[in-house]
Amino acid sequence: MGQVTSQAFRPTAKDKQRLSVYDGDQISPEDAFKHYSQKHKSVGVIAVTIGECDALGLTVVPDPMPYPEHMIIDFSMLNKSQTKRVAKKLTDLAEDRGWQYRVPKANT
Amino acid sequence: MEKAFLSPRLCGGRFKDGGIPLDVLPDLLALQDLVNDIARSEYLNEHPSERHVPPGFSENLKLRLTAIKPGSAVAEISFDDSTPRLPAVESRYETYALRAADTIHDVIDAGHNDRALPTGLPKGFRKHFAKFGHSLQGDETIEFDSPGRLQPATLTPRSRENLIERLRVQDECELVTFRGRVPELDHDRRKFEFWPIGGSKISVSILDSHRDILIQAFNGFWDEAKIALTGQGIVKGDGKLMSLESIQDVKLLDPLDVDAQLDDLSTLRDGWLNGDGVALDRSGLKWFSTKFADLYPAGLPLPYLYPTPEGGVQAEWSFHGCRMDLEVDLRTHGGEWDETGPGDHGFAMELDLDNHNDWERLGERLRTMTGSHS
Repeated sequence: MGQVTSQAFRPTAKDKQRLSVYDGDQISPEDAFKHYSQKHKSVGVIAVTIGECDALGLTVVPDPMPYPEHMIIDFSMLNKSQTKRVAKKLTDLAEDRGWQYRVPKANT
Repeated sequence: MEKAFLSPRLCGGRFKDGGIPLDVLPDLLALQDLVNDIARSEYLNEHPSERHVPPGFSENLKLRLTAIKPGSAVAEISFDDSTPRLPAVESRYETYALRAADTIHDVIDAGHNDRALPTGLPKGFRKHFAKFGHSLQGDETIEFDSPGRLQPATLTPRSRENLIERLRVQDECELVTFRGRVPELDHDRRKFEFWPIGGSKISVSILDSHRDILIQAFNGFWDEAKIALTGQGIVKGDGKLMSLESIQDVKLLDPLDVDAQLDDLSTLRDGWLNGDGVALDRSGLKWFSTKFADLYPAGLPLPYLYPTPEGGVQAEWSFHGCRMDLEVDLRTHGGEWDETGPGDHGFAMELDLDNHNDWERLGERLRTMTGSHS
């Protein structure tokens, strides 16, 4: 249905409060999708800006170890409840911006 | 003088000389069991408060072969009047027997003319019907005349085999509801493909009364339009739909239909989240479906449902800068409610989703956040 869950911006237990993202200044949404889809399933790409993360008190840092365009949004200073709320705010912002890349319907 | 109740006409082969070989008599004996079974079923359907037919019911429906008439051979079968009955009792039981004869006629006719089988056949019908006409050979037929039908129905060895197979399928059927999409619609063949969520496509006949809904579902295929199909179907042990023999109802579903969303989530297997992600417990999903249907306050918007990595369900609502979610633990039946609103608004609460008061609390939060207090 194309509606994004706020879980998309909530780190899982495995992430240890550090959410992996692509740096949009270094890779296009379509290329980010292709890169991610090599190993994982995806229906598309959504985005938030570093400025929006800053405004919510989140630090965004480059982490080029796995691949050059890799970045981390750091949730480590937030508890579970705060994480949920910030994730919702990020989802709102990303939804307002719209899909940056979307798999054609016939392929989903 | 006994009144003839049934006069099946045996034609062709061994019946040409007007006689009936003795080894055909079990075929006729099957009529006794068929009439009795259907009549009992008719009686109990008409008297839902009664668990049994009245004493002597079967005795009053005893049949006997009273004559063999030429043509090739017409077996004249009458009610056994050896037990005296009051006229009112006789008439009452005969009514059920006549309906039974009509049903047998309609079954035979369905086989010969490839029509739908009558509904509501009693459970043992196939077993008894398999004996009727069992000894027919080659070109032999039975023309079955029922007092309530204008034309006789013809049973041939081939139509009999076909009917027994169809009755076997019908015996395996149960009333089911499945949700899914319509990827194909063939007006010419009057068939459509139904693709149940998580299952395989099956071909189903189109009824005129369902045509408009099916066209809408077909046109909305790429937009995930879904229908709920209810009918007599055969379901495999793993819960997958194998075939639908008849359809009772077709509904176009709300895009956020909760059961359809839960069906989608039920298809996830362990590892669904890039190797992580626990499959959602089937019985837990069924529990949530029931609770949601019974206790979610009427008139409130339906949520989007998502899986959680831990094997739970997350219900989400969003309106005008407000986002609410309910994280549901399918094993403990607990719920974690969380909401955000304009500015720094935030509120959380824990819910027991087996408790209807907690569903009311959830409804109250939704009404507050959406501003709908009606």
